[in-house]
Order: sequence, then C-alpha cells, then structure tokens
Amino acid sequence: VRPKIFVCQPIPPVAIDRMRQFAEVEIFPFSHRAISIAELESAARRSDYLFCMHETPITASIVAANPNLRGFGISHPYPGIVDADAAAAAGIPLLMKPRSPEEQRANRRHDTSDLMVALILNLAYRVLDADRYCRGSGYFQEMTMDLMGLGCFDRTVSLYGFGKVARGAVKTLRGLDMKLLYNKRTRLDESEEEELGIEWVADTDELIARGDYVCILANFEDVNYKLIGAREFALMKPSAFFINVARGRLVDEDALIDALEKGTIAGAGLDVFWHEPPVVVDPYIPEALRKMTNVVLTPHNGNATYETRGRATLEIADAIIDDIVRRASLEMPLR
Amino acid sequence: MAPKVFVAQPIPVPALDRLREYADVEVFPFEHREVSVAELESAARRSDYIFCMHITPITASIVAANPNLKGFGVSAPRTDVQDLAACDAAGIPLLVAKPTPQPPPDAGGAEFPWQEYALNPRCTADLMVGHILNLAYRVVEADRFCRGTGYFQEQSMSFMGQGCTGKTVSLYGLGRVARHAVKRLRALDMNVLYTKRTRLSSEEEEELGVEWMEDKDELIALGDYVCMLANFEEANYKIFGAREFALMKPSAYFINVARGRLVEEDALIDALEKGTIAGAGLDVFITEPPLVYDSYIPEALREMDNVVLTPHNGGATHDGRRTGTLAVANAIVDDIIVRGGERLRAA
Repeated sequence: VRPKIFVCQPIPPVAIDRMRQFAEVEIFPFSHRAISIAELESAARRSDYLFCMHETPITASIVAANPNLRGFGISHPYPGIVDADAAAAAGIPLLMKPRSPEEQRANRRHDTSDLMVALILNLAYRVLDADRYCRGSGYFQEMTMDLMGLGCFDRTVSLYGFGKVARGAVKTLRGLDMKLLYNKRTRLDESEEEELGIEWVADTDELIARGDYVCILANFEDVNYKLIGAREFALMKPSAFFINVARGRLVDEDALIDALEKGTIAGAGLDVFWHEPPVVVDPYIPEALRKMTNVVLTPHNGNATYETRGRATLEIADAIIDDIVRRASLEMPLR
Repeated sequence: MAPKVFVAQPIPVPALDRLREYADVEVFPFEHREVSVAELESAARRSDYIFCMHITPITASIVAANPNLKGFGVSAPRTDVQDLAACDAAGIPLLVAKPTPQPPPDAGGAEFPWQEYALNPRCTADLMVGHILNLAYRVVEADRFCRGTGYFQEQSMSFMGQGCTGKTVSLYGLGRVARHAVKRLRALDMNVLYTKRTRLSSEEEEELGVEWMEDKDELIALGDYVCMLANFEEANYKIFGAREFALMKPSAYFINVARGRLVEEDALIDALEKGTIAGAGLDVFITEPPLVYDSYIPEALREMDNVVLTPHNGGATHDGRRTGTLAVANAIVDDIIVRGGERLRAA
C-alpha cells in the first residue's frame, strides 16, 4: 500500500509529480481561501502525511485527529502556527529538508527584489493607470499629457533597511540610473558601499525626505512595529512614492491611507498589508486602498515565480519522500 | 500688441511658461480627443502662431484660414500630416525645434545630465522593461485580483509568474530603444539575443552583452520575452504575423513599444485567444492618431487579462515631454524675438 499525502493548498506540479512517484497525493483544491482547521483534522484522519505551506496551522486538535500520522512536511516550524510541542508529544515528526547554503547560493534569484523594481517602474511610468485608461474610453491623444510619470533616471530611491531584498535590487536600480540612499542598523564598509554604488544616510528622517521612491525594507521584529507612520509620511516629498514588499506591520496602514487620501504622498506600491493570513480568513485589503488609482496592489507575491515556489515546495516534498524511503527501508508498516 | 500663440493640445507647464514670456497663449483644453481641422482653422484666424504636436495636421485649409500666420511651431517636418507645399506657397514658415542631442552610448548613472539630452528612447526603453517586469510578475493581473475579492491564500499559487532571472529576451531589432534597454535587462540577469539588419562588431556585442541570432525564426523561438523593435518602414509592414507567433514558445510574451504596424494585430489577438503565446505588453496599436479619431484599441485586447496596455506612452515622463515641448516653444519664441517682439513677463 502506498502512503497517502494530503497537500494543504494547490502547489506547483513539479512537487506533486515527485511525490506521486512514492505516494498517493490528495490536494486541497481551493485557492480563493485557506484550508480550515476542521478540514485539516479531517484530512489528517485519512492521510499518512500532511504537506503544509508556510501558513498552514498545525494545532493540537489536528495532531489528535490522527496520532498515527507519520509526519508533517513543513518549511520551517513557525511559532504561533506550528504547535511543535503537540506534534512531539504524539511522536509525529516535523519533516524539513532545507537546502544547503551552497545550493541556495547556486540558485539565487531576486524575485522579491524584481517585484520591488516592477512596482517602482509601474509607478514611475503609471503603467496601471495607463492600462485602466486603455481599457476604458480607448481613445487617447497622441503624445497625451494625461499619463506623464516621474520616470526613473535621476530619481532617488531611499532604501530603509538593507537586507537580501535591497541588495538584490541594487544592480537593477543602478542599471536604471537611479541614485540609491540607504540606512541600516550597522553601516556597511565604505568599500562595499562604493562597490554597490549606494550612499549611507545616518538620519532616517533625511533618508525619507530625500527619496522619490521610499522603500521600507526593515526586518520585521517588535522594535520595528509601525516604524513608518503619519510623522514619516509627512516627511516625504508630496511627489514621492512609498513601496512596501517587506511586511505590512512595519507600517501604520491607517496613516498610509490618510497620506494617500490627502495627497501627502503621490502613491504607493504595496505587496504586503496589515492583515494577512493566517491572522484573517476574510478579505483584508482595506476597501480604501482598493479604490485608489495611485496605488499598485499585489498579494504578498514577492517570491511567486514557478522556480522559486517550485523549489520551496520541492524542499517540503523531498522531506516527506525521504521519510517514506527511510520507513520503507526499515520495512515499517503503514498505520 | 503681444503675439498670440495657439497650442494645439495640453502640454507641460514649462513650455507654456516659456511662451508666456513673449506671447499670449491659448491652449486647446481637451485631452480626450484631438483638435479638429475646423478648430485649427478657427484658431488660426485668431492667432499669430500655432504650436503643433507631432501629429497635429497642417492642411491647406488651415493655411488659407489665415495667410498672415507668422509660423507653425513643430518638432519636425512630417509630410504625412503637414502640407509643406501649402505653407511654402503662403510664405508661412515651419518653425522647427532644434534637435535635442541623443545621449552618448556610454551614458549612465544618476549623476549623468540626462535633462540635456533627448529622453524619448531612454524612457521608452524603461517602459519596455516595465512591461517585461509586469508580465514576469503578473503585476497588473495581481492588482486587479487584489481590488476584487481581496482574499488570497498566503503563498498563493494563483499569481505565479516566470520571473526574469535567467530568462531570455529576444530583441527583434537593435536601435536606440533596444540599446538603452539592454543595460537594464542585463542588470536583471536576463540573456539578451538580437537580430539587426547589420550585425554589430563582436567587441560591441561583448560590451553590450548581447548574442547575435542569424536566423530570425530561431530568435523568436528562443525568447521568453520577444520584443518587437524594428524600424517602421514599408518593408517592415506586418513583419510579425501568425507564422511568427506560432514559432514562439507558448509560455512566452510578446512586447511591442515600437510601432503597431510592424505587427499583424489580428494574428496577435488570435495567438492570445488561442493560447499560442502567454500574453503581451503593448504600447502601440495598428490604428493610432492621426489616422483615427475614435476608440481604436480592439475590444478583444481590452477584455484580456494577460495583456498590459499602455497608450503609446513611451516618452511620457514629465522630463521627457518637457524637453520635447520646450524645444518647440523655443523655436516660436526665437521667431518672435527675430521679429522684434518684446519680453512681456519674467521667466
């Protein structure tokens, strides 16, 4: 009898195909909502393994639903989402197979960085406005002045935080002939700054005030909760755009909406929001933002390429397959 | 009495300010349509100069409406929209803007004085890269989705794209716009293939980081993003049609920021509808002003989720359009000064 894997949301075929070589695979079919705990309990009862994505809850009740479960395939035991104690108490392993740093380096991509640049270009050339306009009346004046944008070259990007995402964007932003300012807890070496072509700004207020495109890229940790609020938006140029591909909770979202409504800032590119799963299961992008024409909204989609999501889901699939193979070699019976 | 300039469509403020230093200025107020020939005739009767945009018609009837007109300000003479013989016969000069120099090939960096150069090709290149990124990350679709139901699964598989890293861009033509784009595409870690009537030297290819494709069909077949960038001339009319779309990968995108008439638009729509190709980013269309006055982006394209549409907006940055319109304004102001006109207002 082949073991049975339940996959908690639709995932790329590459991971499913690999698992099907070793197991029967059932996939939660809906992509318009997250799976519920009741559905996970039910799935646990009829499965040997649960394939969990980053935000799939693993609760004591799911563990209790099938104490003979052979494992949860996960990417990381996120606290607050994975009840590791309950799994350990029932002797159900959390199966992980992170890639080695060498493999990660070899496969380095800059998807979130690229998305950030895409949002900047969108705002700089008003692509979404233009698309909506084209789909509407359909007529435009040749050389119309209607949809002029700020453009990129000569413009200043302020990077508030300088981690992997910022680093991955530097080459492209420099390629677009943009001036790059940054702030970071620990300043880089001068030689590294020079090599990257970025300028340190010690005062974060100055950093915010100088940018045509202000990108929040700080780590999400308690001390950075609502780091950007009404005070910071008031410091921005009225012609400047705010971009967030990091975390919604770095920003006071009400203050952002207020700044957009009052014209304190020109617009925003947002991939992340205050409320996101697993905190909420209902629609959660504020209605006010959804009605604005000067914002570009994407659904926390920074790593959403076939390669990156394919690789991430393969890591989980491989963790489960390793366990199947190991148990088969030990001739451990199913349930 | 101050000379009077009629401006044939809304233009950026710096050019208007320049004109107002020496003239009274009237601006055609509408943006949702072009000025008509009848309106231009009427404007000619009450003006000394007409400030024309690229496609503003200059007909014999407009010339006849006011043979005392002092000049038409234009960015360049264009026989398809301007009746040069009628202007000559009436002795009305075309006041042609001084050409703005193109940036040198090695131009780059935030410190480079971009404002002193023609910005249209550069802005168009950026818009092309914008289209590629949009399609690669499905930004327009994602935005529409967010504005709709507003719910998405964390780590949703709904909006996966093919991204940029390691993907191939096929440049069908390598003129100014393409050259500007190459640097940005290379920065995105994309492979760039090209074809061109005359192949570049191998040093130049190496320096740019582009690979020559002898066979155009192969160029089309290898691209994840196929960009039409050929010159628009008779020989290139509809050079990209059903046969070429069929050569493309079904996962590939077609991008056109050059000219609509390079492409068989019906074949493009068909390829998009049948899934022959994955999608398109389009800044240009087969019918555009001055040939049409009605809505002209095909309804079929306007209903598709997998296309991004922009209205021939490659040069539409404040800086770019300021540079272009200021050059025409200066041509008119120079003529006013030559004729002894006085400065009315400080700059």
